[in-house]
Amino acid sequence: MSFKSEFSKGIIKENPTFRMLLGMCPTLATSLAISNGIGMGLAATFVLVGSNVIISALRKVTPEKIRIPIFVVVIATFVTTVDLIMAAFLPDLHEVLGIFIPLIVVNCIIFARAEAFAFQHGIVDSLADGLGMGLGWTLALCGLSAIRELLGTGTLLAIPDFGFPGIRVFDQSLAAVMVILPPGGFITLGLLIGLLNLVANRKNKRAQEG
Amino acid sequence: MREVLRLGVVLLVICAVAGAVLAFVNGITSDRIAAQATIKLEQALRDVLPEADEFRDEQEALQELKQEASQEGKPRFTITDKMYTGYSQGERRGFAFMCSPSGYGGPIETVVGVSSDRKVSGVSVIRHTETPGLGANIANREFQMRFVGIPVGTEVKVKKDGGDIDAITGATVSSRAVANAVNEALQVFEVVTDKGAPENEL
Repeated sequence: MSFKSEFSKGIIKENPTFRMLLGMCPTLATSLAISNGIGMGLAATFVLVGSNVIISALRKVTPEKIRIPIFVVVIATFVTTVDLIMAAFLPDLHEVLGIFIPLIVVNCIIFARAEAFAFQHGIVDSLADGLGMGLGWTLALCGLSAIRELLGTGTLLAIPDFGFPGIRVFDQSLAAVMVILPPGGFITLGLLIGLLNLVANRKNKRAQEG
Repeated sequence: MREVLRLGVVLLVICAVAGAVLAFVNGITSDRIAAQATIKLEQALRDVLPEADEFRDEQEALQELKQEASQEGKPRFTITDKMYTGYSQGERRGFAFMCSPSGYGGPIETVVGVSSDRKVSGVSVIRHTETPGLGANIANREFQMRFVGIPVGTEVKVKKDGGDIDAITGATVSSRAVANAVNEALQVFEVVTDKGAPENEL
């Protein structure tokens, strides 16, 4: 497959959240506000691209039997390095993204792509895969968090770290707080996955009939 | 047997390289990270005690105080890590305390300012690992303002525990932790000013 198709498959066709159901835990935990979705998504994309490239580069010298512990070491080292460098040289960015970093270490999208893709493909393809999967996840997070932020708080695009309260769409008293709490996360995610499956099934059916 | 050894050696080499990379990165970043933390702390001290422009570390006085305040071997004031006095034009304007109460995702480094009129003058969270979107809202100015003006002698609690502070929706644990920090800061302030030490030396 070409660079372009490796890149674009992660966005819709093999979207990590809606199609492969990977990384559900950080998805539920961080999809509370659009600013979180963007922050978590971009931080994870960066780590995903980096870990995919390193694992792909090391695939020839990595014995199959101990690949899993090696993935763990590589990913954890990479995440910690990014965390430390960001804290030292880009403190403002670290202020905003820093709280997501511990969540990235346990993000199974990164691990799954290392195992399912980077370990068997070349560096360039792995880079494209990481970028596409990362962006696909970012988009999924943004979509989910937009719904939860709007219904749960009545605002959009609030960024607490910058003291920006967001755009108020309707009054707080009308907001259903449950939507930003864990049960609301499960329900919203489930409904969204169901909706996307419905659309995809209709499309397939039409394609078969046509 | 030979296979096991080979795999072990490969894993050892990779771990050693990872360890070396981490040691190297830590070496080049630790000083800068420490410097950033100091800048942040100074900024927070000025934020919580705006009347003062000069701060003094009162580490020894705090240690002494902690020992004296302990009752029957039970340590008191366990979450207060640092104490500062704030001065302006040679006069003491108040105290600032660095407390680390346990939140939902780890310690929440909270700086609490108590001015000479015996009221909370400001609260600032400088480092935390709370959940983004829920507990992380303790870093909001709006939440921190809920504590400003509370007089010494008040028991600071969230409403769920029978107090007056509105907790953040879905983040009672994080809100409670900040309330604990303010509560303890007020108690330390009370003890330290009743004792009259550290006195205004200038």
